Amino acid sequence: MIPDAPYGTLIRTRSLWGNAVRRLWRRLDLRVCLLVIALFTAAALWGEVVYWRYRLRDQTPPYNRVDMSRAYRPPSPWSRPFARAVEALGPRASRFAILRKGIANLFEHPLGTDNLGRDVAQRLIQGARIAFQVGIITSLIAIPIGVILGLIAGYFGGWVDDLIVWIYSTVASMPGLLFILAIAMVAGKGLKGVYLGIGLMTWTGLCRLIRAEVIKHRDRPYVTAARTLGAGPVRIMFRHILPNVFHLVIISFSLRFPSAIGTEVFMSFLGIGVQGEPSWGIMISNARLRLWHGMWWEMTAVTVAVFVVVLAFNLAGDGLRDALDPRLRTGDTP
Amino acid sequence: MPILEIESLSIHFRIGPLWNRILLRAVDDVSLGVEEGESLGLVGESGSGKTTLGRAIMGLIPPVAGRIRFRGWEVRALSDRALRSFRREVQMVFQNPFESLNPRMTILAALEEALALQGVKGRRARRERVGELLAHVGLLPAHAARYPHEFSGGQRQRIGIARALAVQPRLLILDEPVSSLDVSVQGQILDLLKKLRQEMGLTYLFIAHDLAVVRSVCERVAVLYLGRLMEVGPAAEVFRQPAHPYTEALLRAVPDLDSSEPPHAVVKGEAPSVRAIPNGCPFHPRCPRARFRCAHERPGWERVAPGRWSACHFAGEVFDCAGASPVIRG
Repeated sequence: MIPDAPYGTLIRTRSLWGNAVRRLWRRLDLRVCLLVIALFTAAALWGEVVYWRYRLRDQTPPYNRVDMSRAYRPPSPWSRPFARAVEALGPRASRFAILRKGIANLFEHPLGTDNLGRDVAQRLIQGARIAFQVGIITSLIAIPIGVILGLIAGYFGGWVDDLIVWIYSTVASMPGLLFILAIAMVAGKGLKGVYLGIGLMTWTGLCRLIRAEVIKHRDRPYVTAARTLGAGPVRIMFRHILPNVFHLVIISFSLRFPSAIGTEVFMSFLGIGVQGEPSWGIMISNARLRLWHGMWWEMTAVTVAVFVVVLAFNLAGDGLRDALDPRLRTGDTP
Repeated sequence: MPILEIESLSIHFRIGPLWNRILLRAVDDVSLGVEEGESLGLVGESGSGKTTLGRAIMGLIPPVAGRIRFRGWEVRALSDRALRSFRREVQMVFQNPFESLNPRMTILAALEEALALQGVKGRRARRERVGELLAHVGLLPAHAARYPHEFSGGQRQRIGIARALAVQPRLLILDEPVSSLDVSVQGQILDLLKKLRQEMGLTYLFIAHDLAVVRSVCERVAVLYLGRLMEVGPAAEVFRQPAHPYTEALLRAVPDLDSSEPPHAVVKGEAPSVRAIPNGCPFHPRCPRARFRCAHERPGWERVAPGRWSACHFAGEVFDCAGASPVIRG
């Protein structure tokens, strides 16, 4: 019926995501953000490796080793590394030996030690593990709930919508901390409860956003066109509407990372979070008590780390949203 | 036997808040037949129910009364399976090509999905078919990897047509396919539609408000006003010698370059809202020929010539009068 194509049937596809990442990489500021996120992820993975290594051997990991003789040491660059090398080796030692010792001193505790003589740098890297876990696991719980309920509510409308709106309004009206505490009680002390609590508490915002956006999209002609072609509701929701509202998920993900870290900090502060492992929350609550002993370095290190990671996630999320929007695409690489 | 039969179809919506529900008669008692292979134009002002009628035929809006039969199948009563094969035979081209394509899908993905939904197996086969379809509507197969926003309006409408044709339908419902395009592009799309109809033996239900467009594409025309059918007949004859005052008014409102006299307003006022359709003949408040009877009695169908029907009490009179001074020359 239809004649052969007069032109060569050459068809190439470029993936939206591949393009988005390429375009992110082209911007220097976003490249730095991606690098920070990669470093953060690497630190978290490294922390995971270290944690399991010592756990399986049933040893105390170095970041938990208490050594009161080293307590309250400021970051090495501030503690006269070369002068101490001379003191330790005596004036007769060769310059080379002094230099070596001095450099070793310089990197002994690059961020100092805390009140129990534990190395702050090690604990900071180890804390990235918990922060990462909290961000990822709570997102894995909250985002699917928010997305699926939001899609269903927005697409079907009617009593389904009413029901879902009622559910999320109810959840959102509960005091978050109480809810998390209650879940933590049920799930037992430790991180499991914190993850579940934060995850089950924080899907409402995303759900509301997705629902509102889906309502805007569901009567758009492209959805009607899909319907006339015989696409079912699941296909329309996930293949047609979801890609058009996905930037909300990206932004929500990048914004919930910092807030999840913040909540974890608070939970640890209250003593229902992580036990026995260093997390940024525990470090902050610990450092807060020592600030007036003159121990400024632990607080500084953790605060800077949280700030940098949160900023990187926010900027990268924003950039990714722009990169994913086909209407904003300019100068595509073929 | 007509390929599509619409029998006293009514579509009503209840709108407004609960305490003030209004019954909106979008389509009221419309009967129409479309013969296989013909091109029927559905003409009317905005709000006359053209699009609603088109969507009802697609099975997107349930009618409150009447029936739509496509090749003998009752559209409302189709099972899921039958609906699928029905959609393989009836497809729709939408008015706004900027809105009717998913901005997040490449052309390839959009067309491939249409094929996959209608059971074309195998990625390779589908891709080849996409290339064919694009070439068929005058685009390059290399365009397939692009997103809709990279195309102009006319090109997008070509893509919309390709998507509708992907399933090899028999009946194409064209919902104002050119009204949002530039005039120069309109001509190209209309030529494409004419060419496709000849090549593929399609039947068109062409919804439009532009009479010139309808005249160039359609053999038969049906005039809709406030959800009711006013006149049905062969396009050339209806345009030369209308048998309904409303059609006459529509035609006289078309500006004429040859004529020295300015286009005069033939009808008074604007079309009333569909929320409050006048009693009797819905056109009587604006009709220059209205008499006492028009306000109280709803006119039935009157046959003024072979194949020509008019819903006017004085159809014959209008017809004869228009015959004496043709509305459109040539």
